[in-house]
Amino acid sequence: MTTAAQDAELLARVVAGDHEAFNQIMRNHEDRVFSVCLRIMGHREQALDATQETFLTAFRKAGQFRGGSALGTWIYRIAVNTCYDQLRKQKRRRSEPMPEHMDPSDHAAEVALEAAAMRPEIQRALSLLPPDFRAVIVLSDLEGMALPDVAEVLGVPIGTVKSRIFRGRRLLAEELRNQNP
Amino acid sequence: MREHELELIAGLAEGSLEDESEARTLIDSSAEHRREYEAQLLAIESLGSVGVPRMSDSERSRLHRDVWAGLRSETAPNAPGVPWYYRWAPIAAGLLVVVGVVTVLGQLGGEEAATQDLTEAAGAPSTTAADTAGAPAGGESEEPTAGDDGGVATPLDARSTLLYAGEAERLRESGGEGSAFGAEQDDSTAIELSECLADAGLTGYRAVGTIDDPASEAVATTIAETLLPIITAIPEGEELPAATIAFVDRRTCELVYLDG
Repeated sequence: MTTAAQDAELLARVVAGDHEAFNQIMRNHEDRVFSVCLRIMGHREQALDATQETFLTAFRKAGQFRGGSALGTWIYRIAVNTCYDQLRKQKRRRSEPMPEHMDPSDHAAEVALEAAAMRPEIQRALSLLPPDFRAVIVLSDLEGMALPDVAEVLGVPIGTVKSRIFRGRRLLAEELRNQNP
Repeated sequence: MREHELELIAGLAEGSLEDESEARTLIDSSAEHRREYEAQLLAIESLGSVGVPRMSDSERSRLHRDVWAGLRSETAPNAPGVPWYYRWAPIAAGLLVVVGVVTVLGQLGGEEAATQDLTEAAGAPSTTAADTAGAPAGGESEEPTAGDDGGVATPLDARSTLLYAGEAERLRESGGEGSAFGAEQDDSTAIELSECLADAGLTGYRAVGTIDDPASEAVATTIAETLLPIITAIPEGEELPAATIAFVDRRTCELVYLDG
């Protein structure tokens, strides 16, 4: 059975009320969704919230999935849009910049972060990019997604994706240089 | 700078060009092109040095627990879209039963006798969450106490006590039918259940099943409709037929009933 057929079957089971099918979808995609959210949000707690909301939204909209794209692409689109929504809410609340921190009591998470070696200066520079540019950089340069997939996740033409990648990298380089003149 | 030139420069920085000569000529042609190349290269190299973030076990467990709690609250019988009378029918039925039983027993010997009879009718020594306050049931050190950080639910009404006691008896007789885990239970679910039991103050207990399938013929319709979702747990080292059975609300991780 092809991946697309497996995805379609899984979603059909979810729509029919099979919670184990949804559990399997979560297991298949939760790490990457969390990674995308963390890199866009820059904050583990908020990334976890966004990941949770992503899967709740996916469950609610499972019946609307038409199979025009891969299931993963559809879920990452929900994830990016969820992150955009949360960033907009934060902007309205004028919250402070988003350092990637975590509950200090969560030692396991600390170890995981160290293993991830997300360099703070890069995370900081990334968080200063406009969200549209940040998203393409995260999906393309950090998550290694192909340009057509990035275009599909973001719902923009490939030309726009390329343009945002080039400009986003340029801005990122400027921020990095500003931090280490 | 034209788009084509930018693509060439970015391609050179990425190392994705088959023929780099045109791009190299371009970056040598002006300072602007050279700066663009250096910026692209710096960004790509910096991003390439970043590792892959992973969820910790506790984060993963929390994610699963929160997602499932969210899904259950959305698909619960009292979720929007369910007829209004459906939401109130179990409560009304429960009230009628309680009023009827109390009235009959009150006629036989007063309120105190009625309470005692209800407890006896619930099956052997049984304990509601409220009863566990400060006094471990069964006297074992591994029994939960209200002093633990686990939540203690509000006292159960007589009908709920009867339902849980009946369900406990049914589980013992059937060996856990309708509550046992499916073969597909995974590590993350096991972690979630284990943490939930710890939150409920049930240290030294192991989850033996969940009751979350309203369609299950094995589970009494009443309990499936009113008490979902539930984790059933017994003390480590004990077997179901003879063990104390704890019922924990899977959404709130609160001990709701302890039987045995």
